[in-house]
Amino acid sequence: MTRDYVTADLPVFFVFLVCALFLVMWAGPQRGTVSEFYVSDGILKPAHNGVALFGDVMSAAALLGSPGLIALTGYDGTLSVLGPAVSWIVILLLVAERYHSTTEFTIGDRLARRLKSRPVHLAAGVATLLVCLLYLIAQLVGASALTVSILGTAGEGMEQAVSIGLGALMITYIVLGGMRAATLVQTVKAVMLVGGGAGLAVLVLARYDFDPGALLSAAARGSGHGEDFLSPGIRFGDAGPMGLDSLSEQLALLIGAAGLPHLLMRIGTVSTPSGARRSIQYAAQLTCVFYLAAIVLGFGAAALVGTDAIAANNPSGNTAVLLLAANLGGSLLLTLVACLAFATVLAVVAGVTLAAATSLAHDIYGAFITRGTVSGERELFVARVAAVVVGTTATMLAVFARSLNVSFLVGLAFALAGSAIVPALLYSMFWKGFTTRGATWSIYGGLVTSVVLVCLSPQVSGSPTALLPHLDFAVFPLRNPGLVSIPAGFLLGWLGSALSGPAARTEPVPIPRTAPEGAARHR
Amino acid sequence: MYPQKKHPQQPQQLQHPQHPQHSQYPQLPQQPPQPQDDDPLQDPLAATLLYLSPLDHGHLYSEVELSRAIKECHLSYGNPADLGAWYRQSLSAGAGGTAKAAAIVHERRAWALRIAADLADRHPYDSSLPWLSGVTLSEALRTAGVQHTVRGVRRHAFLVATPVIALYVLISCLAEAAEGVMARSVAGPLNVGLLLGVVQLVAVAAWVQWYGRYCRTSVDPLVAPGERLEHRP
Repeated sequence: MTRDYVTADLPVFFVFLVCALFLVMWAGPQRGTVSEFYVSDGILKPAHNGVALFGDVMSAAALLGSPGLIALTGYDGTLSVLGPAVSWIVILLLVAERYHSTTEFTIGDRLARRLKSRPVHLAAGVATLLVCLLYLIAQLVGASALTVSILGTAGEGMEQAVSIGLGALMITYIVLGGMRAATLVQTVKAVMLVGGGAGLAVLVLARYDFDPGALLSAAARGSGHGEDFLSPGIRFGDAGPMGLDSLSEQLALLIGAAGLPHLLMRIGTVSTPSGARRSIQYAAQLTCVFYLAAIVLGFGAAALVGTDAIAANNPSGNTAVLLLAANLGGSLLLTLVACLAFATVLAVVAGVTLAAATSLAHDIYGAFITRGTVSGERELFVARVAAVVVGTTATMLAVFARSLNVSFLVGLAFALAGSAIVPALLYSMFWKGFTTRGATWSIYGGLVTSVVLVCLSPQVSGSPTALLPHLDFAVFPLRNPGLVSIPAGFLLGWLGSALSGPAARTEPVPIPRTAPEGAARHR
Repeated sequence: MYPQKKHPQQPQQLQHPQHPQHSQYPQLPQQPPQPQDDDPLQDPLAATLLYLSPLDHGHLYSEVELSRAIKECHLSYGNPADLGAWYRQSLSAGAGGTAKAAAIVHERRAWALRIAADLADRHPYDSSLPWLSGVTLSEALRTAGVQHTVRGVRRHAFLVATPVIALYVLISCLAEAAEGVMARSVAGPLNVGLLLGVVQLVAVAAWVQWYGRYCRTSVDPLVAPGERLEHRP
């Protein structure tokens, strides 16, 4: 259906955008230090960093998925935008300032301040890599699914090309520019996202003479569900186990956001703890504004395009915003929104790749393998190689994993972050009795619990939509493991620390590993 | 900002509070207390209130006037945590400013401590006026349930965040369990569920805005630069 609207403008626009980004990136001087590569020397302004942080959180799932879900399921879809907004409160209260004032670059650095350096750096590095890879694959799979729906069946072969193209682009970007490049692309994308989202929402409201009531009535008519569209119950139909499932997913979204490595890394790019707090404030305010616009877009798509037409175009509703843009402004607006969607994917993918590369180079290579003796130049080189390795791996996996459901992958990444990273992070910041054993138990335990539960869930076997539909070993009823694995991570962290005995707790605080050039950071 | 206007620009040192013409001030304290720059929390509560009150430390006041000023200042601040925050901020503003400002702050604090000690000396057991006895600011904070001041203000931020998070839990549970409630109409097509959703987003934005201001005014002044949690490497 959208096929008629797409013009040759899209590649032109996109190439223009990418070239502009590269040009701006090369304009500034570079010192070539790890601190610059990882966190831009920590000299970003809070407002700038806040906008970029907002960009980090807003993946393609937020731009396309949330309005799509609202257009398909009405009220039930609006629940999906509340969790990410509320999770900012958790991040602000528990993580922001403490994390900023006590970490150097990575989650491993934070843990190693009080605990033994090598084991916790390795554990944190493994957890970070896994979470980042899952998140990366989800974004790339989403981008290729988007290509198909924009270009129609003619784009079937384009899918892999888009995955590989975006992957290559982000690798080049990160290798050349590190955090500076990631920040730049996030800022551009975030501004486009807020502007585009708010603009589209105003256009939708203008159709109904700025009367939200008229919009809601039209959405209820266009959905085919009538008034039921505006009340709970369409998405999951009968309650029962689905109620728990939805609870589990919301818990993972709420808690897991505080453990996403690419968000935590961005906290370190400002110079003071209060700067970190202020940048999160900016990001949270922008999130609330954008989600209000997303609700308008979702109901607008249901009203103007019709739920049936959206579901016919893409069963998961991911193209609802594109269809809406085509309806409102024809070919030009559609091209702009599609361009925005690709920019969103590229930006998020760049940020996550950087976090994974940092963890690989700093935690696993720097602190675990070389025991912190590596020089700054060498670590920077390893970080660049790591970006290539991580990017290539994610791109290859995304090509093979394109049948996986995007929201499943994102939910799993959040559940992993919530059950492996968040418990160790919170314990290390708020509990003096936390030990090295507790940290490794909670990280590895959280990882293993989540992965095992997902393997035993209906997502992998025993249902027609599963990964292995002809097998059935689904003994765990929930699709998202968060409800069990997050408490398990906390419990294991406590248990490991309690079993270590009092002797382990009084171990002297080790001197944190500092890169030779660390003293040059503008702190 | 109220407490920042407290320092008279031209302090008059012509008259002394213990001037003979005020016969209701017959005694001097045995040891006139001197400001201790290291820990303002050990200052008497009455001295803190006098310092923050609109009284001019160059003038003389009767005991009634002093009591009224202390009581009004106590009422206007209410929360001891805010009081402590303003007090420290005001003191540190003097320390960080010019030599003249620092001298004014020091002088005003000495005046407040002297008057407070004098009042406490004459009303040692007056439980109806707790701010007149020798209660220190840190003791006042403790009796108000604020064990560690920074921790106390942070806990307040948690408490304010609780309703916002509770609203989220409420929305999730109602959407699962009580669909009838959520479908009830408020105005035309707008129902309770949608209204709560929008209220939630606005509440999050409002809390974030409030938290930023609260941290600037209440938490940051308490966290002196030397006592941040831990420093970066």
